Amino acid sequence: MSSVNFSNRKLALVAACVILCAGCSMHKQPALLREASVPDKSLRIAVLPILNLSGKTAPLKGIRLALIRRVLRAGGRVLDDDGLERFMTRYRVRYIGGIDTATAQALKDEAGIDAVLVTSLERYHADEGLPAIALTSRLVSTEYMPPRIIWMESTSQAGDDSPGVLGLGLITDIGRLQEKAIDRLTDSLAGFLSGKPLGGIGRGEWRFHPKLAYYARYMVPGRKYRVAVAPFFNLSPTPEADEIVALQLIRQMVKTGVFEIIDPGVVREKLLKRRVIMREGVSASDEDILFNTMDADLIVAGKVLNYDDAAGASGPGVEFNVMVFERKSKKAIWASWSGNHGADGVFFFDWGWVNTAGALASRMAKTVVRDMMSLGSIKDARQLQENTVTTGTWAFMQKAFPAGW
Amino acid sequence: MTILGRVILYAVLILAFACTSGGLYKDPKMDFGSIYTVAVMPLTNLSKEQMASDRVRDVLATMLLASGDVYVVPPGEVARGVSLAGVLNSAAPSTDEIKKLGTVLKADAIITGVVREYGEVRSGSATANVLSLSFQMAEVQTGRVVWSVSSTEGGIDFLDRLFGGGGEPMNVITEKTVKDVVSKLFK
Repeated sequence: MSSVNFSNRKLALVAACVILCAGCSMHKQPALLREASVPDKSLRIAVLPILNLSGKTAPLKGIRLALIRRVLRAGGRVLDDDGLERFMTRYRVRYIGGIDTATAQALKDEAGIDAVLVTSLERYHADEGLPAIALTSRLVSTEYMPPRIIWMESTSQAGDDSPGVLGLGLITDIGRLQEKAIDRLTDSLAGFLSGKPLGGIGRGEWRFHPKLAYYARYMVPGRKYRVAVAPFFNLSPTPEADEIVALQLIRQMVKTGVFEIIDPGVVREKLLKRRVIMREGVSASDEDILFNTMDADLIVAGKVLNYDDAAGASGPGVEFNVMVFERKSKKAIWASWSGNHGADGVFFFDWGWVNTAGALASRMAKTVVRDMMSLGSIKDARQLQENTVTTGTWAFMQKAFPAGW
Repeated sequence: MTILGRVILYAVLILAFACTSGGLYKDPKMDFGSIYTVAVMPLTNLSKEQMASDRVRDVLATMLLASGDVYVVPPGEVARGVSLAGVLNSAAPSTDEIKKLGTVLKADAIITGVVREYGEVRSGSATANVLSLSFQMAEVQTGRVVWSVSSTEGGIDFLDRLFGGGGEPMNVITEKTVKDVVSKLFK
């Protein structure tokens, strides 16, 4: 029979105090970084670690730090690294390519976070030749449940984008190109944080319109649609092409202001939770899950058939199809097939040449979204079919005036 | 008509028919107006290009939808239907399997097909892209074939032999071939 003596009791008391203090410190409000001039009401942002889709080693920490610095300068308040790390450990957050409902709710409740900045590096080329970099960032609001994307921007840059006279405009240093790319992203973010409206998607280039499209005239002007983007299928030689193309499409949809895009992290969570394995695309049962669990009006699905950054004689190549399903009938209201190369429509002095697959995918996605909303010159399926005739003329032009002619 | 005139006329006719080749069978008893929904099954790929069948299938499905004549069951739903109906070879289903698929997919007809050639062909120093394919459509009530078509586009023509150039891009040829096939379906 053992008895507790005084010194043991004292020790136990001290230990209990230590445990209590540790517990309190674990749940203390994490610190927020901000510039001195930034007001208390500015957006509180958690910057997630960068998702590397480039398939190459890249200075992800350096890019993230540069991004945080610019976000602070743009007027945001940022959750400090310790706070984010503690949160991610406690909630076992391993996926950094998106944010699910539970994590977003916890970030809001415990750290007081208003939005999460999710960034992916899609291309990083610094080994030989001219450098290239492609980044996509999105701001996911925790105000809405399920979390929605409120801002998104992307940039894809290569050292020879603007070679200028005698090659004076060539950029050979990856660091400089990286700065330029981050500036492009954060300038747009600063505009958004200062209350500027989303810029809209602008006019798409005629050469990047979908080659074939079906449109069921479903969308009503002035109405907003809640959209869930299902994972795309990747049949291209580039491993992460499905995510890259899907992100480009989401970006263009966000810019229109017509679509409320549920973060892909939520879609991923729902599909994983229900053990859904998609074969070749979205089936009716998958549609049921996505429509009902997220209260979505539309589901966007697609397939990437080619995504090749290798700049051959005809430049990088991208080919994908997109299908959109609506909730009531669960039928497709939009189906399109797009396929282009960087040299398409380039006849003289490389004027209009697109250097990277990321930039090409972005332009193609823009025309898809524009046609989907019937804002473009192509009004309906009949006209779209007629448009395929012009493809023939265009093909003749390309044959007659090969790229770089 | 003079002999020279006849020779020119025959030459023009031969050239005109040589541009697009292909056969067509349409069941005269079938009312194609009763087909509202079709399912395009995965195609058999006999070409060297691995992705050829997926590409052609996507283009065919989108073009059928864009024609505004029929609704095409999405590929994900077709895959689920194949699994539910227990179809052993989805590229070539049997008559019974076609009937089952029709019930599961709620489709009026099932389209199957073969990509026979896809990609670059070479003859001497000249090269060009070519696509050769054939499709069959079976109606789901009886499982019998009501429409069958084959088409070939591209290849090395006179100008390619004379000047080179490599022919038209593969995307354009795919579009043209499938358009030719679809135009033979409901027109």
